[in-house]
Amino acid sequence: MEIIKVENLKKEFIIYEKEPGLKGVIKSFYNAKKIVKKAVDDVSFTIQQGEIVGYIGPNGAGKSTTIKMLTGILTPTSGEVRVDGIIPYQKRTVNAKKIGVVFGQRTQLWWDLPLIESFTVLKEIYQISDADYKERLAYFSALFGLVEFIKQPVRQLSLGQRMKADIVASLLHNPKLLFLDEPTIGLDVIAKENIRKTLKEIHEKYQTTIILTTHDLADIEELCDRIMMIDQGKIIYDGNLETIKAKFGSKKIVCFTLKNDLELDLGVFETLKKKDSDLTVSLENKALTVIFNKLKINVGDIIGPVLKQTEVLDIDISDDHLENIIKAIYKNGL
Amino acid sequence: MRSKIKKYLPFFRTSVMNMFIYRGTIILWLLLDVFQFFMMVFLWMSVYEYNQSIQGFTLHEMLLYYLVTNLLYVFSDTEAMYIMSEEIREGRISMMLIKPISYKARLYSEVFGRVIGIFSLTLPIVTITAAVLLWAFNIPFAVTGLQVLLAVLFVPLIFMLMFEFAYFFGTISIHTTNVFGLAILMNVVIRIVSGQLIPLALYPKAILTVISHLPFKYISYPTLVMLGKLSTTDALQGLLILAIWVGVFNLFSNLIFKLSLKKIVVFGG
Repeated sequence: MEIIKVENLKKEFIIYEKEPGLKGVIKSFYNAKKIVKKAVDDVSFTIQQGEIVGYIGPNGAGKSTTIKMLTGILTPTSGEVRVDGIIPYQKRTVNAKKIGVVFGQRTQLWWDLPLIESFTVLKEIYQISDADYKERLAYFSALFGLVEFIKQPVRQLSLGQRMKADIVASLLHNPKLLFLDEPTIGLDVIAKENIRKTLKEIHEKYQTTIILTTHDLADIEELCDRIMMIDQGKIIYDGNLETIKAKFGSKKIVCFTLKNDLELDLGVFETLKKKDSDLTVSLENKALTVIFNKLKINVGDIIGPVLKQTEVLDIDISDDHLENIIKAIYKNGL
Repeated sequence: MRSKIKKYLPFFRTSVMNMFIYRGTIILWLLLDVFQFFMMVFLWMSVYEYNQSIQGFTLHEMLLYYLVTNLLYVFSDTEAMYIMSEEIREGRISMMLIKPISYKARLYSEVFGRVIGIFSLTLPIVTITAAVLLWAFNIPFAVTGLQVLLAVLFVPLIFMLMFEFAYFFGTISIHTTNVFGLAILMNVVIRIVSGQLIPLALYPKAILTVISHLPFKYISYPTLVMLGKLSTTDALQGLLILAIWVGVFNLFSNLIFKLSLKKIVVFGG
């Protein structure tokens, strides 16, 4: 079942450019330069119930703007948005009942109140029954270990605790659709891991549709079956993770751990560079890393000469990291 | 209806609670008000040395006027404007718009909670001050039940009027991002044209004509009613006109908000 349908969606912002300096300020006061910024430019997609979609793109690409239109905060300049059959900006409160939203950089909790108070406020707002509230709170408490900090005022929580609390806050009313805008921003490795694991569990239990924007591609690899990539307001890729890896991840990485690196002659790689001009070699602290295109060079051609020359303690061969693939796409386009 | 009220009750409650969390700050500015009040007492005493009455106000009446008006001025709260302007500037408004609640009703509940919180902190202080005043000056103070009833009827309407007014200016900050200067100016002007500083009767005729066309003069009506300066007919008429102002302002500010919301820009996160 289709839960989100977006067609030819556009959002333009008008920005007044101010020139620097006092003179500039005075000049702009009378004659401000108007700039139309297309934050989202003719975007179309559909999302099915139960999907987990990673929505990625560089800073300022239009991710948050899209989400704000889907949640009914912003009114599109043109185009159509439907969330579960409803136009969000027209029926904001009806839509709000069905969705949960976490903006990683903001909190929906009440800063001065103990965390548990925020949850009771939300219980009233969403009119959650006592039984449901109790059951869900117990479930999330167990997953996130809320007991430790549930009685503390929100302003005293650590970022990781706050993010967990925010995620719980967005899920208490069991929404059909969950928007997570950078839910792991600024978190340490363990907190990130914990959040990912929990999101997976919640998705399994409630079949919640999740739309996730992030700059941490490990989030995507762990959680998403599908990614949508946006750049300068336009969707440049929409498909599954495997395809993008197969299509663009033609690089392989070989790491050698050497016993000593004194007698190594890197000259062999010069000849290989004629076959693959993007080949890179780095030698640092007895670790030799070679990145090459597997379509142009065989792994054997790399490993063979090294083994002949010097004593190797360990070899690690891996596909290119998703991060590098995405970086290349951001930089060069598809 | 009941469930609707229940939805907004938490905002009222948290707002009252906040007032008590920051009670240190509030008690500090209440003490400041008390100090200011006693300065005014001395000021009026010296003014009245040469006059028996000014525009029909005796010294005793003037002191009572000042005391009661300032107590009730708590209900002329324009905090909504600051809350809105801040939420819009910082983009926190988006966190409110993703909830299944009306932005205005929530703000209403919050400001109402705040006012009740401040009122319950102010009331004891004013009561003590009044007791001291009545005793020190030996002021006879008598009000009829009808006067109190009329005065009490004014209070919610004044609160609503000022809320709508603040809500309108808060909405403006969607377009201008910052209304701080405007807000301060507005607060000063309202203090002057509402009779919070001195009774409106003391102003020159020309200014009085302008003021009498504005709805803010009703802010001092409950005090005037209790001092017996206003006939029952005038008070009832005032109530009716004030109610109309509130109704019209409500429609107007809702319309402006609805139109402005389309223009809203929330940058970053």
